[in-house]
Amino acid sequence: MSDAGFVIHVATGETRAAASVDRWLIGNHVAVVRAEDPYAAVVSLCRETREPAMVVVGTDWLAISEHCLLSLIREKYPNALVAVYGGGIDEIAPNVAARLLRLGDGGALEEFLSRSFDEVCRHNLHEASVAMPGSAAPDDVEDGDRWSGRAVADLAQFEKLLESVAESSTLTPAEVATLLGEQKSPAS
Amino acid sequence: MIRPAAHWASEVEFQAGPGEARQAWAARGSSAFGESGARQIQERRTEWMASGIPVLVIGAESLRDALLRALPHVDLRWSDNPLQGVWLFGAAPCERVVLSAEIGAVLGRVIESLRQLAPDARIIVVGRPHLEPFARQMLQRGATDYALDPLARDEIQSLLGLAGDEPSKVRQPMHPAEPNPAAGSDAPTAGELAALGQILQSLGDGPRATLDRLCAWVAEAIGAAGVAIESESFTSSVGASREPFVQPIERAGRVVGRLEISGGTGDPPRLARRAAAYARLIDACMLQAREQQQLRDLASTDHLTGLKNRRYFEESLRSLVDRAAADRSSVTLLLFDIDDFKSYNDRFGYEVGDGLLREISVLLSGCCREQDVVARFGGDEFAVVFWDAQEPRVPGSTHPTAPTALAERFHRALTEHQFKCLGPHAPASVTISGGLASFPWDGRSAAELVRAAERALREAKGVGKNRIQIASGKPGE
Repeated sequence: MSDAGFVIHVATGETRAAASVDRWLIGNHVAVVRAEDPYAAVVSLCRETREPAMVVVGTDWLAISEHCLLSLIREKYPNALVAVYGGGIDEIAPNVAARLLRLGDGGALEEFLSRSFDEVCRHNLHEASVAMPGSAAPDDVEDGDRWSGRAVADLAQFEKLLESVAESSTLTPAEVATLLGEQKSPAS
Repeated sequence: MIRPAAHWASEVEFQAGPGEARQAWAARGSSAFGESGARQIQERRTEWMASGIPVLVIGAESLRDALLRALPHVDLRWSDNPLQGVWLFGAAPCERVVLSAEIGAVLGRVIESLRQLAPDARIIVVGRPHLEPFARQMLQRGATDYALDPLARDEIQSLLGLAGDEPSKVRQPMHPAEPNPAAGSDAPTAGELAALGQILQSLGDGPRATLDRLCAWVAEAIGAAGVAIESESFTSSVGASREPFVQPIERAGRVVGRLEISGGTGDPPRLARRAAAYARLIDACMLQAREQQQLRDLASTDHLTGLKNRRYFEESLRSLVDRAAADRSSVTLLLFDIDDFKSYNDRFGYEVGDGLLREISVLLSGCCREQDVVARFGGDEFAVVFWDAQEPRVPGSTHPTAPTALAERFHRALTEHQFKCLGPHAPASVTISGGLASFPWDGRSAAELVRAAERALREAKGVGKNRIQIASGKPGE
């Protein structure tokens, strides 16, 4: 399994997309806590003591009254990357939760899944370290490039883009590509 | 720290600090129960708050308020959102939960989730009498017990394990500060008038619901062990019937019903006076409720066919789609028209054309279920909204099959039907073309669903008519 930790996958998305996400996680050797519906997800949130590296939420079957799941996730895990995908994504109000990565139809999810898990998480780590003023970069980061000048430039771009699009609209594949860097890592 | 979006009810009333909080509660209490009642509630609440027994309530604000009145000695946590309610429970588990049956189809999942977090919690489902079958089903999903409106304080205390005794046979009044109405004069108490006011405001719910409320109201006002009312074609009862006092309900000198009171307190002449007064009120309320329903029916009915009209159809579809979105159930819409209807009008005249529409309406109503909304959409177009309070959708769910089967049954019945209005010279058979579309698969709103069904109808016409086409496109396509 990846050193990056584990991922919570709320698989209320359309089955094919949910299976793609599962395959991507398995392919990247990531441990997954899978929740079949929002209620199972809340039970997992209540029970889970570890902090996941990422939470992925399929939105096809989320009722409007269940959109609060995203704010609950964000409250419990302020630093985790929360990515949402699926058909109901446009119905999620921008203010329901901060810093959501919205992967709608039209290839954004595919673009996201074409990256390696580490690559996706690395960018989020940068974002999280800045989101908490005064916090230092983790000492145990082995990847020296992670804190290089290029990464810092990426980070500024990442934040700018995230601020401009992620909270108000669904990302396009090009925006996902920009967010996650131009260079693709080979999928595991 | 995780701060749940829902909140402690005590914080709503006491957010300014204990001293001011008591004033806040007293201010609220003074409007509902009078000054002395508010003082008593305040004192009792201050004393009972120290016991700190937490009870989680998931449901509408009205349920929370009813429980605040019935259980003033507990710390009530409340959320009107089921998912947030489960979250609140997980953040700070408690042993007692009250759930509203109005939550709908997702209630079973709520109970299962709570059970996962606290296997030994007392989970009580509360609902209106017509939801009793649903509430009973919830026992199989893990609920401890259920209670029906109107909530009796003894009963809910007992169900939540807050009292040592079994529920009393005699329902106790909900308002703690009210004097016993049987002990005073014949004049109604403030509580009685407030409850009557609520009944009057809800007459639009129809005679059935009105009679249930009146029955509960009389039982509580008189402190009776049982009350039964018959009014025209409706009956309602609460509690046990034992050697009842019977008061006829009269209208213009004609007996139109009866009011039975078992175990009422107070002396017999006083009970008789009160019963006569209640009987007159019951009849007046029922008359108003019936008239309101007739007016509503008139406004929502298509005069030619007797089916619901387009306005009613549109309102129902919108409301059912909203409900389906909230509780993850499905809604299916069938739109159809009569193939070559104009030719019937041209050949047999408009009177026969109208007769054809009426016969098809009867046939269609006979093929649908009671809960389905059957309407004339316009001209020779009809619409049926099929809906079920089914289990919530899960990933991988597909179009519901029951509406498809119902639509096909109607299609078959139509083909085999001999139309009397067309007489012996009728063409071989009357045929229809229709489109079926389901939420959320074919449309995510009422308007999208109608568009999808219309598209499917056009496809059915395009491929030779006399068929019902199932929409297969994505929403908005």
